[in-house]
Amino acid sequence: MIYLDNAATTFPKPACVAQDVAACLRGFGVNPGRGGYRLSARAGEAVFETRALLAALFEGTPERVIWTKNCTEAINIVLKGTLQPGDHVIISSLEHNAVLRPLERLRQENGVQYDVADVCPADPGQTVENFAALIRPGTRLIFCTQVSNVFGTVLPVRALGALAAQHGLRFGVDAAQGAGTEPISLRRDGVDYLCVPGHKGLFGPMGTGALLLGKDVDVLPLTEGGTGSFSLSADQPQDYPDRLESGTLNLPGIVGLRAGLRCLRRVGMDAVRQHEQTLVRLLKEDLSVIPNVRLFDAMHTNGAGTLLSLTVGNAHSEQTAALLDDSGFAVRAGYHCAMLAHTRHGTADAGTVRVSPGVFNTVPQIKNFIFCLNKIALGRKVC
Amino acid sequence: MTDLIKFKTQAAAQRAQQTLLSHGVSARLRRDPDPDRRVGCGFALYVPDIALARSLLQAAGLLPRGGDKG
Repeated sequence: MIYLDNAATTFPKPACVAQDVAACLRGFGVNPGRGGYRLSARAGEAVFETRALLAALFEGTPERVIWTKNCTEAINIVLKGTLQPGDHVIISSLEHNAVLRPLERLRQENGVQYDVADVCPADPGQTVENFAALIRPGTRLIFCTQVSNVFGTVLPVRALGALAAQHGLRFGVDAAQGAGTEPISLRRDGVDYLCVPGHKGLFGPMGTGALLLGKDVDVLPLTEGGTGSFSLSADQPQDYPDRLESGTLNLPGIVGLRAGLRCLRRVGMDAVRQHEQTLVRLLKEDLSVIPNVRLFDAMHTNGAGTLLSLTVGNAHSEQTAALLDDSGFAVRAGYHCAMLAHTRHGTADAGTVRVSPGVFNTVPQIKNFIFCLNKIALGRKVC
Repeated sequence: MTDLIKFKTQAAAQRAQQTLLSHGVSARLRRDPDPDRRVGCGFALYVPDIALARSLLQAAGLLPRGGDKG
């Protein structure tokens, strides 16, 4: 099986991730931040080292790195912990359901309003203008994806951060696809809330994610409970990260994430992105000459992407993905939990086959994929 | 001889510890051995020179001037 679904989760992980998770469970898998004994202190050190690595990568501060179980939870914390009835939010036309669904619930139950700004992949300036045109009295937040999980479009995050700052708005980013491949900085990009998964481009295990808070923002907790601090108070602590981190942390996951982050630091984000873009460029060049294959590479920003969506003939994307599975390729098809992206960009009928290479994929694997997709496009059931 | 500086959260104490270590000042993190009995548990850094440690942490904005519980 050749795995080309790295946009869902990177696989395999670097060997050091599994090794460090196992070492944690065997050697210091105790509760961090609770006990005063040395083993607990060691667990606490591992947690803080991982906070510091994330803070360094995204130019935040370690105490404002909040652990979550995934990027979706981080997004929910931001939206439900900051928006009030009557507040207005602007999101992009490429948002994942992780953004759309909590906002829709807030609209239905809490009187929060939102509008959708169209993304123009070929014209980032127009994208920013589309956001600006939707700002109105009551607008509190611009929230957008960094990289589309369907098309690989990179949004003009820095310009949108500047737009938000210019109008006194908060700015949040869903970096589910970009974290680890596309640079982003809380400080330089004006990001107030940065939501990241641990298990995708940062190479950690599933069950890890984080919310990084800008220096002047506050978020109400969705969950209250034990934090290992202020234990005689019935009120939730106000200090971060404790305010938003109740209950025992996922220490083995965080330790695995630390290994993944160290690996990413060694390899370099630029090298990862360039490798993935090279493989996608190869896909585009060779697949574009197959008559029955439709590529959605026009959605790429500046002609480059780290993933590629496509369809074959009139077949539903799930049918094509099933044939690819029978041929030994793991790709994601359908609607990718992104209703807005498909309905606003014309792919809601058949969905798309999403091919997302990772750092461990090779040129021969991609050549093999192209060969098999060609056969499928010509009507062969299985390559 | 060591003295201690108290912190509300483990993360705050850890960042202060990191800062002190980067300045060559040793700092050992433990649970607060004598927490405020109205508030509950907290964290503490044991440092050899409390005046120097306070001054470094205050300069870094990690300890309010005039008191612990950064």
